Amino acid sequence: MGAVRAIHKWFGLIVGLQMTIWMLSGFAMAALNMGQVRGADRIDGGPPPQIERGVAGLDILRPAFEGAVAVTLRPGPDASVYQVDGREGVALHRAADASAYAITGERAMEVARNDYAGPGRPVAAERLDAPFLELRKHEGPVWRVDIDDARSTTLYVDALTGAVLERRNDIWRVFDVFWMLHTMDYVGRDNFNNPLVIIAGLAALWLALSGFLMLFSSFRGRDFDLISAVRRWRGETVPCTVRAPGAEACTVRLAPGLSYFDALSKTGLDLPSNCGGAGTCGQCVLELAPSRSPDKADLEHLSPAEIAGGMRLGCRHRVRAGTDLTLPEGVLDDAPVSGQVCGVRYLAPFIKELRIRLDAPLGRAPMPGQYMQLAIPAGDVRPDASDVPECWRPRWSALGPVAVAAEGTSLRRSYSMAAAPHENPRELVMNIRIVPPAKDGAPWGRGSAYAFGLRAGDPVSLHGPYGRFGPSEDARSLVLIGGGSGMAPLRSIIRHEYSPSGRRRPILLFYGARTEDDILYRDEFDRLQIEQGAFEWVVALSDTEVSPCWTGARGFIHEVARAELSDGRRDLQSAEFLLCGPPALISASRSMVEGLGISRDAIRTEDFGV
Amino acid sequence: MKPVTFFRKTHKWAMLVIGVQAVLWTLGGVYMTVIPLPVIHGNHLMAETPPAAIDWARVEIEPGLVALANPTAHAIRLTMVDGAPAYQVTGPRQALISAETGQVISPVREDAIRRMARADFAGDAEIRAVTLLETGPMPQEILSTRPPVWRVDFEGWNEPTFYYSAETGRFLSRRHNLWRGFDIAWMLHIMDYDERADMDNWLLRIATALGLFSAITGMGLVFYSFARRRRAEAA
Ligand SMILES: Cc1cc2nc3c(=O)[nH]c(=O)nc-3n(C[C@H](O)[C@H](O)[C@H](O)COP(=O)(O)OP(=O)(O)OC[C@H]3O[C@@H](n4cnc5c(N)ncnc54)[C@H](O)[C@@H]3O)c2cc1C
Ligand code: FES
Repeated sequence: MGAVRAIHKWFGLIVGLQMTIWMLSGFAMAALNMGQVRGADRIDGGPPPQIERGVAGLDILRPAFEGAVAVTLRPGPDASVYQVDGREGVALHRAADASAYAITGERAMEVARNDYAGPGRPVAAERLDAPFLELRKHEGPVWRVDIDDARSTTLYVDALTGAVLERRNDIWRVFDVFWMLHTMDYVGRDNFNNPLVIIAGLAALWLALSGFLMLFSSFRGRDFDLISAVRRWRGETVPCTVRAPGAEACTVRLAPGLSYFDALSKTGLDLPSNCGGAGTCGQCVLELAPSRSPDKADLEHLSPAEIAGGMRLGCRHRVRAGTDLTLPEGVLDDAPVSGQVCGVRYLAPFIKELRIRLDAPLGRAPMPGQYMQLAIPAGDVRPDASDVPECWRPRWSALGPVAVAAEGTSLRRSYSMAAAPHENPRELVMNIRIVPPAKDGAPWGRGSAYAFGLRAGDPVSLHGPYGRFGPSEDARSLVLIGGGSGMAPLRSIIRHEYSPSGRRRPILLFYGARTEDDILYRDEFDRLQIEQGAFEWVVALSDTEVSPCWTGARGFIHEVARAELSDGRRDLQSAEFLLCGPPALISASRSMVEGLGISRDAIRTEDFGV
Repeated sequence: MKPVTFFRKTHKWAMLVIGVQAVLWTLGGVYMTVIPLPVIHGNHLMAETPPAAIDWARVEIEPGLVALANPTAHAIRLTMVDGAPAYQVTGPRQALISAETGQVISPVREDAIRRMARADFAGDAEIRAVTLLETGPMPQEILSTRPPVWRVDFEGWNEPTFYYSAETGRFLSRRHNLWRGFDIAWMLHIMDYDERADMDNWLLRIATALGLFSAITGMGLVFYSFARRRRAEAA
C-alpha cells in the first residue's frame, strides 16, 4: 500500500491542478444549458416555405449544369434555388431561370431572420473567411450575422449555400473557454488528441487508479457506523467505568463510535501514544472488560498473556456502553514533574547522558525499563553542536550542516530511564541520541535536538513514568538485545537485577553499535562481567570499515546473537527476551528469536520508533 | 479539526462517493484522446472514388414535376444512385424517384444497397450481412435516425457498419468498434446512460460538483503533504 500511496501523492502533485481544472470545467459545462449553448432554443422550428412552381426545366439545366454531381431544388432565403454540387465546389442558381444567385449580405440577414426565433433582430452582416475561432470546422467564405439580443447571438451563414453553419452566443463563448480548458488545446480548442492532454490524461489515470485502490484500505468498519456518528453529533455519550491503580473507580461518559483512545482524549485523559492512534506504536494499552476479540495490531504489540488478561490497544477498539476500563499508571494523574538538568556528558558521538535532578521524588516509583516523557516547548530548536568533542567532529560534519530542527508546537518525547530506580529517587538518567535528518532536506529530530541542547541548570518538565517494558517475575534468565540508545532501559534493568533488591538472574546482553566509539558504558559492563559471573555481554560492530583493532564480533547484532544462541549450550526455553531500539532492529531480532522456537509470550519489546 | 485532517477526511469521503466515476472519467478520457478523431469518425473506411456526374442524357423527368407531386418536400435532389439518375425527396415524406421513368424506387432494394456499399467501402472486406431495419426503435448507435434503414455489416476486427436510408438510398452514417468504444467512453463521461448525448442531466451536474470538491480537497492535501512537515512519515 505504501507504493500506491506514494504514486497517488506524486501524481497528485503533478496533475492535481489539471484534475481540478477538469472537474471545474466539467462542472461548468454540465451546469450550462446545452440548448442555450447551441442556440437551439432560438431556432424557428417551422417548416420551410414551399418550393416554387414554375422552375427552370431540363432543357435549361442540362447544358448549364453539365458535370454536376448533384442538383438540389430547395427554398433559398428569398426564392427557390438550385444548389449545384460540382467536383470543384458548390453554387446556387435561381430556380426560376437558373441564373446565378449570390448570397449577399442582405440575403444572409434574411437567412438569419428565417432561422432565428428570439427577442432580437439581425442588425449587421459581415463577410469573413473561415476557419476562425468561432467557426473552426468550416472552410470558405461566410457571413457573420449579428443579432441584437442580450446574449449577443451571432449566426454564421455559408456565403455559397446560404445554410446556417453555427449559432454562437455569449453562453457558448463561456462554454467554449471551459471546453478549451477541458481539451487542453489552448490554440484551436478542438483538438483533443493533442500530446499535452494525452500525457496529462495518462497521469490522471494513475492518480485515479491509485486513489481507487486506496479507498479499500483507508476505510475502517467504524467509518460506516452512521448511528454512532449521529449520536455523537447530538452530543450523546455512553457511560463506562474507569479504574486506575491507586484511584477510586469512577464513571466517565465517552462519545459512542470513537476508539477508546480518541474518546478518552476528548475527556482530557491522554493514553500514552507515539503514533496518534494509528495502531503502530503499541503504547496506548488498557484493560477492557468484558474483553474484546483482539485485532491485528493487538496481536502484534501485546503478548498472548496480556491478551488473555484483557489488555488491548485503546486506539483499536470502539467505545461500548458499560465497559470497564483499567488504565495504566500515569493516565489519570498525569501531572507534570519539574526538574533541573544537573549533568551532561557525551557517551558517544551522537549520544549524550543527561542527568536530571527532580524537584520532588516521582509520585509513583518507576520500574526498571520504564520511560519518562520530556516536554518539548514550542518554537524553534537548533541542534547545538558546539560542545562536540574534537575527535568526533568529523562524524558530525559527515551529516552535513546542523540546521534548525523545524518550528513546531509543544510536544512530548519519550526517553527511557537508564539507571535503576533505587539508585537515586531524586535523579533521572537518560541516554539521548540526536536524530539526524531522515533524508536530504528533512529536519533534524526536534525533540532529540532540544534534549541534546540542554545544559546543566536548564529547567525541564516531564511526565511519567510510563511503560511496560521489563522482565516478568517468572523469567529464569534474561536475554537482552539492543542497539544505540536502546541501551538505556536495558542498563536500568541490568543495574536493578544486580542490586540488593534484584534477583540476580543470569543475563546475556547483545549490544549493537556502529563503531567502537559508539559503544555506551563499555567499561562499566566489562567490569560487571568480571564481577558478576551471571552477566555476560557481546558487542557487535556493524561498520566494517572502521575500528581496525576490534577483535570482537562484527555484523548485525541479531545475526551475531543468532550464531551465539543457536549453538545449543543454553537453555533458551526458560529465558525471557527483551528487545529494545529502532524498529528495524526490533523486527529483525524478533523474527530471529521466533526462528529459534521461542514462544511470543517470552518476547518483550520496546520500539523507539526512530 | 486541523486543515490537513479536514482535507484528508473530506477527500476520502468525497472520493468514496465519486471514486468509481473518477476512474471512469479518466479511463474514458484517455481512450478518447489517444485515438485520433478522424479514425473515430471512420474517414478511413470510405473509398476515395469521386462521386459520379449526373448522366443528363438519361434524365427524362422534370424536377418541377417531382416538386409538384411532393408539395411537402424540403428538398429535391437529383443525383446518381446505384448508377442511374434519381430524385431523392426529403422532408416529412421521403422517397427515391427514378429520373428516367418517374417511378418510385423506394424502398431501395437489397442488391442496390449491396452494390452501393461495395463502392463506398474502402478495401475489400466481405459484406457479412445486409439487414433492413423497418420500424423503430433504432439501434443505440443510430438512435436519432429515421427508419426504414439498411444496415450493412462488413467483416473485420473493427466490425464496420454502414447505414443507408431505405427511402432515399442516401448514405447515413458509418460505425465501427473504435467508434462504439468512444461512444461508451462518452456515455460514461457525460453520465447519460439512455441517449448518450444529453449533457443537461442532474446526475452529471451533481457528480461533477462532487468531483470538483474532491479535487480541491485533494489539492489541499498535496499542499500539506509537500509543504508541511509530516509526522506520520517520520515515525
Ligand atoms: C518508549 C520509547 C522510549 C524511547 N527511549 C529513547 C531513549 O532512551 N533515547 C532516545 O534517544 N530515544 C528514545 N526514544 C525515541 C524518542 O522518543 C524520539 O522518538 C526520538 O528522539 C526522535 O524524536 P525527535 O522529535 O527528535 O525526532 P522527530 O522530529 O520525530 O523526527 C524523527 C525523524 O523523522 C524525520 N522527519 C521529521 N519530520 C520530517 C518531515 N516533515 N519529512 C521527512 N522527515 C521528517 C527527521 O529527519 C528524523 O530523522 C524512545 C521512544 C519510545 C517510543
Ligand atoms: S496509539 Fe499508537 S498503537 Fe494505539
